[in-house]
Amino acid sequence: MSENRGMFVDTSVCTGCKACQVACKQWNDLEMENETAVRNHTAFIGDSYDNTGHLSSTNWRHVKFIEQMTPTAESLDRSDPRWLMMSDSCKHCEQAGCLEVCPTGALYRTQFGSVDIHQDVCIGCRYCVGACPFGVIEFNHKTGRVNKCILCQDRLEADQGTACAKACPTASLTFGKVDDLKAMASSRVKALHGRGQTDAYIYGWDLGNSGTITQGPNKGTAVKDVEVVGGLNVFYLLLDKPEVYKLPAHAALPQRNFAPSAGVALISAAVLGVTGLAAFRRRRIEENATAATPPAAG
Amino acid sequence: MPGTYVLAPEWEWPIMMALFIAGLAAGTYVAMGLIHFAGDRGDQAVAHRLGFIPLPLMAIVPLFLIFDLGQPGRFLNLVFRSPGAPERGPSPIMFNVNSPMNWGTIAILIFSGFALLAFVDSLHHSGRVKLSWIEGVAHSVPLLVVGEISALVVSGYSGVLINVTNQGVWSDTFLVGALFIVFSELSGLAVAAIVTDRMGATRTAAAIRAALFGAAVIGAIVLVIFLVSLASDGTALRALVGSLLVGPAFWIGVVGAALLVPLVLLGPRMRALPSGRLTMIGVVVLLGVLAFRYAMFYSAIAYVQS
Repeated sequence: MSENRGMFVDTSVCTGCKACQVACKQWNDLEMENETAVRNHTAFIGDSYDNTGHLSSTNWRHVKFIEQMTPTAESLDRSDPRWLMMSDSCKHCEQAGCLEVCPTGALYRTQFGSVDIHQDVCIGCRYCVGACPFGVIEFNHKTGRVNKCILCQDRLEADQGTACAKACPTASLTFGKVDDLKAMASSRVKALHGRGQTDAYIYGWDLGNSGTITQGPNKGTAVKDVEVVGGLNVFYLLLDKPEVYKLPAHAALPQRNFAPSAGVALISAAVLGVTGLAAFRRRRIEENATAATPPAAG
Repeated sequence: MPGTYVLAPEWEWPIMMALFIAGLAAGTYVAMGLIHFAGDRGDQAVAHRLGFIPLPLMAIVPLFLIFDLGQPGRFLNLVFRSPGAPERGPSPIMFNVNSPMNWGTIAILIFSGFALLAFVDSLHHSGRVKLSWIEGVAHSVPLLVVGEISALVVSGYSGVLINVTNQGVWSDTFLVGALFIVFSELSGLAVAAIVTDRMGATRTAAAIRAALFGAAVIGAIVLVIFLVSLASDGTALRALVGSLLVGPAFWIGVVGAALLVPLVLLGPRMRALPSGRLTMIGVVVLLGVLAFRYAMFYSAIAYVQS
């Protein structure tokens, strides 16, 4: 049994209240978004009721608003939308791309299985930013270092749950041992399927669930549990395809390219070396041939 | 298509310049080693002139990286394990075997030592200093081999490094390391071409010219395979060859200047070049390699923007 701690995010009961976002900001003492933009009323993204848009170095939790309208060519009727909400954060992957590439040891695995950052060790090289398959970790231009959700490491050490889960009024966010959460998630999916909501499935672990999307543009599409990067300690119950929630269906570790890339580079270096040696050898052969050729008569 | 969901790492021109210059230094060292290994006594003057080049270039590299990181002291955490990161084990040296950045850091440190050795050897041969021991050390075959290997790692590690991400274009194929090695060697041979031309070393120039042509052939082949491997992700291919941010640099710089110019002008059937022409070709190839670094680095940004 794993002692890892994590969170189960049940999107079927998320109301988009953003209490989790506020609790995260408050507990972790995170700065507000770009102050000038807020002052000038240009910080809001303008095409959604969502007002922060994405995770960032000062937004470690973000409630995604996915507004599925079904306007036709004849009518732009938006009176019957489907709203999907999802409280997103770092997934604290079992195989974390950010941690794998970190060249200074700033990113590390905690005793709770989460991925934390030693801020004083981070040099701001941003390698982890490009390596995270979910676009979670971001460079903070003020500090010159990177930031992301640290699963409230300080609270966990004091035997408390995460601030966001504590604040969630609908139990969309549940903190606990990952094994317990997986059991909870499985029974929740079965309960939803029993009530006819067959689109529920798990993103993060393969617990054997499958179903069919019942609403929205992807209605009728088959879905099943998705396990990525060895499993996610923060995982989700989703009601539509992962891509709809801007989650990759095939997230992968960046290290998949390491050995093949280094191997091909080695081969190309060897070929280049041989080509260079051949250039000098050819010169010698030509010089010898010229020396052996008798001078033309006359 | 992992790149669709990731954030761009914001690696911009200082990083691009640092890696271009490090690649140039490593490529020049490789060209120097090639002359040591394959050339004869008549080529050694060029090799010794080339030996002056890698060290000053490697001295410039940290300046760009410091500018990018903001604080010079931060480099130390790449080399020595910080006491604040106990999870990485008891070793005082920081080395994450899964991180190409650590491999590259170690390679750069080792290569800088060889660049220093080559520089001192060149000083000795120029007559400015007299060090009787240097020839035996700098020209020792095992040391030259290790130096060449470290130079090749410096040439290619940054390509492997950007391969080992989840960025569009960079991670869609595993040929970036090979491309970086080839273009680094193209730049080193371009420097060698310029030096031989300026010195009037026509015999060495003939061999360097053939090596540059050969490297361009290999570069063209690897580039074509790279583009074919990107074709499965149309967005990645478009970001590299069709975007306004990168497309012109790719076609004019990479294809035109770095590859077509040496392929067309340095082929085995081409006649001897007048003095100065090889220098011009070398400069054009160098600009093409700079365009290659630009195109590769900014292609991930072009991907995110698309």
